[in-house]
Amino acid sequence: MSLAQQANKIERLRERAQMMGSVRSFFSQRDVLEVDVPMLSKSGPIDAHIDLVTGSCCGTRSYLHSSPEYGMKRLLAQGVGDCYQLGHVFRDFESGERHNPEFTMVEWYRCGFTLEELIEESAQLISLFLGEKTYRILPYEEAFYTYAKHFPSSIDKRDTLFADEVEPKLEGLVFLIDYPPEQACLAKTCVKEEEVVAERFEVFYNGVELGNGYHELANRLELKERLMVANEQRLRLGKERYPLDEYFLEASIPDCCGVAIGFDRLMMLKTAALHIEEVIPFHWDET
Amino acid sequence: MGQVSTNEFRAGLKVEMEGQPYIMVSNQFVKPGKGQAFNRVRLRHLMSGRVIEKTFKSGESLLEADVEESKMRLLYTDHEGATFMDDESFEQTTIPLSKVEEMKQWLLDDTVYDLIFYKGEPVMIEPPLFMELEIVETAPGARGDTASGRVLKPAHTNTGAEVQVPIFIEEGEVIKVDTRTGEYVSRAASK
Repeated sequence: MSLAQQANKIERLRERAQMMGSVRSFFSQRDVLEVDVPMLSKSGPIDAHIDLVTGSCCGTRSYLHSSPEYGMKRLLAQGVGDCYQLGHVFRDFESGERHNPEFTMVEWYRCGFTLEELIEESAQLISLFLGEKTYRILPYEEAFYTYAKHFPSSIDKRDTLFADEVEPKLEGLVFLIDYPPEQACLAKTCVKEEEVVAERFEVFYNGVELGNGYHELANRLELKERLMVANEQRLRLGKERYPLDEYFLEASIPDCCGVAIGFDRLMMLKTAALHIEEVIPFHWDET
Repeated sequence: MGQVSTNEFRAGLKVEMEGQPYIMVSNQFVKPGKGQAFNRVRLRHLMSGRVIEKTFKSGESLLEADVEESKMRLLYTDHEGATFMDDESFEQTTIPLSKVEEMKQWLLDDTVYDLIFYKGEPVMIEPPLFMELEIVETAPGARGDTASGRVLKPAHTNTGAEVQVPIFIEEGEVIKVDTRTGEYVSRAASK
């Protein structure tokens, strides 16, 4: 690395530190408590398409979290109230221009918020980085009809069509809402204009995915069912099943909305970086 | 030849699809937060140069193509084709001219080329990026033509390539040519 590149990198790390400070003051002004739930657990978040980084601790198979969601929800059930976590998360095999297996995420939960209120607050947080304050809200299916002319029935085809035809055309700050119930993940579902939709949003800026928010599913039986379905899907994809987090499944969360936003992605957009390695101290390839 | 999985994809990888050899030009990892990961790759057909874009789900794999490259020196060209020799093993191979039609204009005896073999058969000849060629035919440049800036005229090289050269270049001169674009670069350094 040349001297000029090194100086440039240090400059970006200063900017990164400054933005971490801005995020923290954003939440302290709003009385949202900073928490730091364990990254390392004997179980982890279960998602069909997110592989956990595994290791061993005290002789037990252990997992690094792919999001602080389960730990934070346990705290919510214990009455912590509004809270956020700004920290590292891990996703195996995710490496590319916009991905590093270890990355920084800002995740927060708001008790009694509606999804619309959380969308508004997410836009405010994003504006700390991008200055952009205006945003559009677009139903997921409508985005397909607008930019790709059709809506595939298989989720796999939706994912590829979305990445090829829809996502790149989402200009400015866009929140997609009303996901089909089969893509609800851990969001509540509701009936809207006689159709069942998931109370979920994903947020994009100029074609870059930034985050994902839910009106959180609180029904413990339904939650367990969804985790088991995700595990079955993993099995069909030839992947291992993960142990269920019994502590998490026993937690009764209050009515709340939560969102997770990729901090490094925001830094990339803020600094016009082409590769994630430009905004983090060291890329996994160089560790 | 083995299978290569999506997490081993990288630019420069030579793979086979539907019995055809391709070289990977670029590989982009795409992973929606919620949803299946995939790789969006651009592949260039080894012989035709045609570039296609394909999407592979994570975990899918491709067959590695049986492609080998070797540096060989052109000995001579005749009605049977172009005959090359490996400087180290002295092994010789003749490639019919019909197979290397577009390359004919860059074939110069005693020059070292990159030969690409697919399943043991030579399929492509890569000339050096820059070649020094002699001008065998060009119209004399008229004085005064340069006033309007860089003026070019057609010329033929000793390999049969047609190159646009500045008007001050005369027959018998040796020039440096970029073989990727077929453009004149400079006068060759005098030997």
